[in-house]
Amino acid sequence: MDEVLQQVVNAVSVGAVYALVALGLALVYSVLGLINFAHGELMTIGAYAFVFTAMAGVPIFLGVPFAIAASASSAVVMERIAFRPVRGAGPTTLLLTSVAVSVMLQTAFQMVISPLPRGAQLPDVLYQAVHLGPVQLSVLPLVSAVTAILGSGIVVTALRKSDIGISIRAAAEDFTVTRLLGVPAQQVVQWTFLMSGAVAGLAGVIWMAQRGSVDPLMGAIPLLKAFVAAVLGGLGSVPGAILGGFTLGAGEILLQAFLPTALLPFRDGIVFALVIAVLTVRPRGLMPARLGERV
Amino acid sequence: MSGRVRLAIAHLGAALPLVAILALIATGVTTVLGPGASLFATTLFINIILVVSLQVFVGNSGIVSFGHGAFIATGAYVSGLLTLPVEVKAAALPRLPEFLAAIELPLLPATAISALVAGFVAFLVGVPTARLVGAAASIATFAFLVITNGVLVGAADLTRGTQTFYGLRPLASLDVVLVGAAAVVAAGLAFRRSSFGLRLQASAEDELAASASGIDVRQLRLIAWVLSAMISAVGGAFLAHMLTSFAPSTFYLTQTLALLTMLILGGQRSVTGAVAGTVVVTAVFEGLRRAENGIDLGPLHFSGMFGLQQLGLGAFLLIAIRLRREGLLGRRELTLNSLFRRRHQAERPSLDLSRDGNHVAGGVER
Repeated sequence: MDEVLQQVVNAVSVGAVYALVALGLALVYSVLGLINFAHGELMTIGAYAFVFTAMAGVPIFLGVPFAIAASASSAVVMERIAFRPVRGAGPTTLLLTSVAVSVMLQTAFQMVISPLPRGAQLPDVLYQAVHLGPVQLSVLPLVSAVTAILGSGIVVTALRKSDIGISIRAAAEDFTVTRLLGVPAQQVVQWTFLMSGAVAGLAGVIWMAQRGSVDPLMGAIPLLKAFVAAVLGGLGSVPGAILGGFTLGAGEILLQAFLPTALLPFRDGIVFALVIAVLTVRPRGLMPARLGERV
Repeated sequence: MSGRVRLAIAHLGAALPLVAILALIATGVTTVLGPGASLFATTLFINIILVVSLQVFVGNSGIVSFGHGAFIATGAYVSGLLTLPVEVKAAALPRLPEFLAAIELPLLPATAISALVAGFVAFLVGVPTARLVGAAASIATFAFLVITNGVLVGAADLTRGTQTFYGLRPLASLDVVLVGAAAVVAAGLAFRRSSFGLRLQASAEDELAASASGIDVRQLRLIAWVLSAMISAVGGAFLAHMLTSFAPSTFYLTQTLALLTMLILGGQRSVTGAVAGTVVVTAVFEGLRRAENGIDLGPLHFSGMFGLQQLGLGAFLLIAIRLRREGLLGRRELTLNSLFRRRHQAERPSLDLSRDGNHVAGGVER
C-alpha cells in the first residue's frame, strides 16, 4: 500500500514538473511559433538564483520568489536581445536561434560560475517522511507536486481570467486579428515571455531541489522531456502540455517501478517508443491546439 | 529511355562546379596549411557527407530530423565491427557472435554493408512514421535517436556499451573521404533535381495541394528518409575510421545539433547551402580552437577552450541568422546551369517570403 501510494505521488510529482516546463514552452510556441530551446537555461538561472540567495542566508520563502523573478526578467531580456530581431522568421530559423542562445548561456555559466555543481542546504523537513494515518510518504515529492500544480494553476487562471491572459490566448489563435482589435503586439509578446520565464524559474527550483544541486547543463534534460511532453499533448496547446507532462511522468514512473531490472537501462527507449506509437495514432497530439485546419 | 539516361547524366553533371570546389579546398588546405591540416580537411569532408545526407531528407521534405545520429552510429558501429582486426576483436569484444569475430573486411565493403543496414533500419522506422508532419515528425525522429542510443548502450556484447569502442584502423584517408563527399554531393543534387525531389519539395510547400495533385507524400518521404539514412551511414563509417575510437555519446545530441547548425546556417533548401554551411562552421570551429590553444590557462585550460569555441559559435550563429534568415544561400544552388543563369535565379523571389513576412500572424504550423 505504502509502496503503491508512494509511486503514485512520485508519478504525480515528476509529471507535474514536466507539465510546468511544458506549459512554459507551449505558451511561447502558441504565440510566436518558437520552440524555445533556451527555456532549460531559464530554469538553470532560476536554480542558480535560488542557490545563491540560500547561500547568502535568505530564507526559502523569499528565495523562491526571487528565483522566479530572476528567470522571468531573464526571459524578457532574452526576447529583446535574441528573438525580437528574428521575429516572423520560419520555425527552423527560430529554433536555431534559441539553440544558439542555449549553447551560449550554458557556456557562460561554465565560464562565469563554475562547471561544477552547486548545491543549497534545504530544510531537513523536505527529506523526511510524513505519516498520513497508516501511510508513510516522502515529503519532497509531495511538496514538489503541490508547488508545481499550484504554479500551473496560477498561470492557467491568469490566462483564463486576466486581460493580459485573454489577449495572449487571442494572439495564439490569430495574432493579426488580435492586433487589428487594438491589442499591442509588443506587450503581448513580453508578457508571454514573462510568464513563461516565471514558470521556468519555479520549475528550476523544484528540479534543483530534487537532484540536490544545479550545474550549467541542468536545464537540458527537463527541457527535452518537456518538449516531448508538449508535442505529445499537442504543441501549442496549454491544457495539452499539462496533460502531456503528466502522461510522460506517469509512464516513466510506471516503467521504473514495474520493469524487470535487466530492462531498466532501456527505460527511456521504451518510453520514447510509446511516444512514437501515440503520435502515429494521433499525429497532432492528445489534445491538439484549436487551430483552424486549412482545407 | 535514352532521354532518361541523358537526364540522369545532366543531373550528375550539374554537380561539377561544387565537386571542383571540394577538390580545390582539399588541395588548397593541404598545400597552404601543410600536411598537418589534412586531418582538418578530412573532418570537413566527413561533415559535408553528414550534412548533405541531412539535407536530402530535411531540405526536401521540410521536416527537421533529430534522428540522423542513429544512422551515423549505425554506420560507425556496423562498419567498425566488420573492419576491426580479428586480434583486437578477441580482446575488446570477447562475446561477439562467431561469424562477426572471424570476419575482417576492407573499408569500402564494410561501408556498403553498414549503409544497407542503416537503410533497412530507416525503412522499418519510416513506414509507421512517414505520415507525421511538423513537430510530431521531429519528435518521432528525436525519440528514435534516444531509442538507438539506449540500444547501443544496452547491447554491450556488440558495442562495449558506454565504454569506448576502440582499435579501428585509420582507413578514412583524405582521398577516400574526398571522393565520398564528391559522390554524395552529386547524389544529393541529383535527388533534389529529380522528379522525386521536386515532388517532395512541393509537398513541403503545401502538403494538401501536393497530395491533391496526386503526389504520394508518404512514399516520397520514405524514399528520401531511407536514402538519407544510407548516406548518413556512409559518413558514419568514414567518421569511425577517422576517429578510430568512439562511444554511443559521440553520436548523440551535441553532434546532432552541430550538424543541424551547419545545415540551417548554410540554407537547408539547397545542397550548395549545406556544403557552404559546413565549410563555414567547421572552419570557424577550427579557428576558435586554434586561437584558444595559443593561450595556456594552466589547470583551466580545457574549460577555457571549450568556452571560447561554444561562445564564438553561438554568437556567430546569432549574427548569421539575423543577417540571413533563409541561410547563407537560401534556395540557390551552384550548378553548371546556374553559372550561366545565376542572376535570373537569384532574382526570383522566394515563394516563402510572403508567408514568412506575416508569420507572426499566428504561431501556426502550416
